[in-house]
Amino acid sequence: MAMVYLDNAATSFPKPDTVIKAVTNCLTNYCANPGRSGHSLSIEAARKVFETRETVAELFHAKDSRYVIFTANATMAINLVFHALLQKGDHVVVSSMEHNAVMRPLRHWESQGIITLSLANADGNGFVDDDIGAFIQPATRLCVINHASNVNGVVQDIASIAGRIKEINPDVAVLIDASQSTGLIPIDIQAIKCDFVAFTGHKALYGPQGIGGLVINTAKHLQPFIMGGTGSKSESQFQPQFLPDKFESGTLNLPGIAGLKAGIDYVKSRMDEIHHNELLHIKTIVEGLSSIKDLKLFWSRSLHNQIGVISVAHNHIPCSEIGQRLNDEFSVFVRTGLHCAPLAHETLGTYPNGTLRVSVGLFTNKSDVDVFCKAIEIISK
Amino acid sequence: MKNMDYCYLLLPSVHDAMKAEKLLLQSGCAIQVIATPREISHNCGVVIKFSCAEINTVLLSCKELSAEQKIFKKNSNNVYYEIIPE
Repeated sequence: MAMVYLDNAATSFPKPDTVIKAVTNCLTNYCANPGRSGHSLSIEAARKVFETRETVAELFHAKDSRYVIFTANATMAINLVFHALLQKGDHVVVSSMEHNAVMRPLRHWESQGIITLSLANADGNGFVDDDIGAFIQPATRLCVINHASNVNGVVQDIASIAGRIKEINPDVAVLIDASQSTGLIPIDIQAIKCDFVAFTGHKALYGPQGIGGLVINTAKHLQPFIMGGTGSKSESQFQPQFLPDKFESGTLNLPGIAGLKAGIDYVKSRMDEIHHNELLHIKTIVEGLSSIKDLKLFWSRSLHNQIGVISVAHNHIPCSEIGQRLNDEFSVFVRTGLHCAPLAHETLGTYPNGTLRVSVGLFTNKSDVDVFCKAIEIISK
Repeated sequence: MKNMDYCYLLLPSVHDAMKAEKLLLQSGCAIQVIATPREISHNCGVVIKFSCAEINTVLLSCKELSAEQKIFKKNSNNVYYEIIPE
C-alpha cells in the first residue's frame, strides 16, 4: 500500500531533490564553521550563509539582508522578538488563533507579572478582524498575528490588520507568525507595515528541520536574546550591536541554511501554482467529505483565504481513533489532537477533543486526496 | 597579485565582508578574502585584500554598504597602518 503523507503542516515531506543535494553537498564539501576562521572552507561556508540571507531578504522584501536573522525555527524567532522587545509593564495583544509558540512564552511572562495580555477573538471560522485595534492601550508594545492557521488553514488579512494597528499607534510593533504561510503567500514586510516576520524553513519552504528565521523591519531598541561568540569583535566581552551578529551567537546550522536556500529557490518562482494546487486539493476534500453524516469540517469556507490545511471532526468517533485507523489500514498519515494550538481550538469550538488535521503539500496528488476521502467515508460508516 | 602594494578592507562583520566581496567582484576588482591579520583587528573574521591601485574603485563599490569601513596598508617593515582615503 502506497504511503499517503498528509501532514505537511507539521513538516513538509518529501523534500525536493535539490534540497537533499544542497544539504549533502554542504556536509560533504564545505561544512566548515562560517565566519569563524579565515581559511578557504570557512569563507565558502560564510558565502553560503550570506547568499541564503540575501535570498531570504528578497523573499520578504527586507530593507537589507542584515535584517534577516537565522534561528533554529519559528518558535525561537518568536521568542527572540519577545526577549528583544518586551519590558516589565508592557501590554501585548494577540489573536485567538495563535499557536503555543506565541502563547506559552507570553502566558509565562503574564504569570510572572511582567506583561499583561489581551486576546482579540476571531470568529467561528477563525477570522480576526481589524477591530484588534480596539485592544490597544497606552502600554501596548506588541501585537502578534498568526498569518495562516495550522489548525484550519484560515489566512488573515495581515496588511489590513497591521495597517489598522499602525494607524492607531505607529509605535506598537507588529509580529507576524508566518510559519504556515511562508512559501505559499508572498509577504512584503515593508508593504504590510509590520515590524517582524517569523518563519520556518521546514514547512512550505521545503528545507530541512532546524532552520528558520526572523525578518526585521524595525530594529530600534531591541535587546539581544542569545549572546555569545559571533566571530566579530572577538576582543570584546560585550555583544556586538550591529546586525545580524547582535542576534546570532553560536555556530549556525550551515547544512540547514544550505537546504533552506535550495528550498526557497525551488518554490519562489512557483508559489502561486503551489498554493493553487493546494486549494484544489482542499476543494476535493470539502466536496468529498461534506455529505458524510456526523462529520464536521473546519476551514475558512472560502478558497480566497485558505492554505492547504483543513480540520475534520466526527461527532461520535474520536479523532485519535480515526487517525490511527488511517495509519493502520490505509497508510494515510495525518495529525490528530490540538496541534499545539489550544487557543485556536477554543476559538473554533473544538477544544479539548481536537480535530483530525489534513495538510497537503507540493508533492500531494489527486489520488492521495481521493484515498483519504474514501478512507474517511469507510471509517465513518 | 604579486609585486603590488596591498590594502586591506576591514568591516565590522563577516556578513559585511561577504557583501563587500560580492560588490567588488561585480565591479571587476581583483580581491582576496583572507583571515584578519592580528595587527589590524582581533576579530576572528576576514578582511578583503586588494591592490592599493584599486582603492578608488573599492571605495566607490562599497559606498552602498551601511557599515563602518577601514582601510589598512602594510609598509616595507610589514607594519599595518590605517589610511584615510582622499
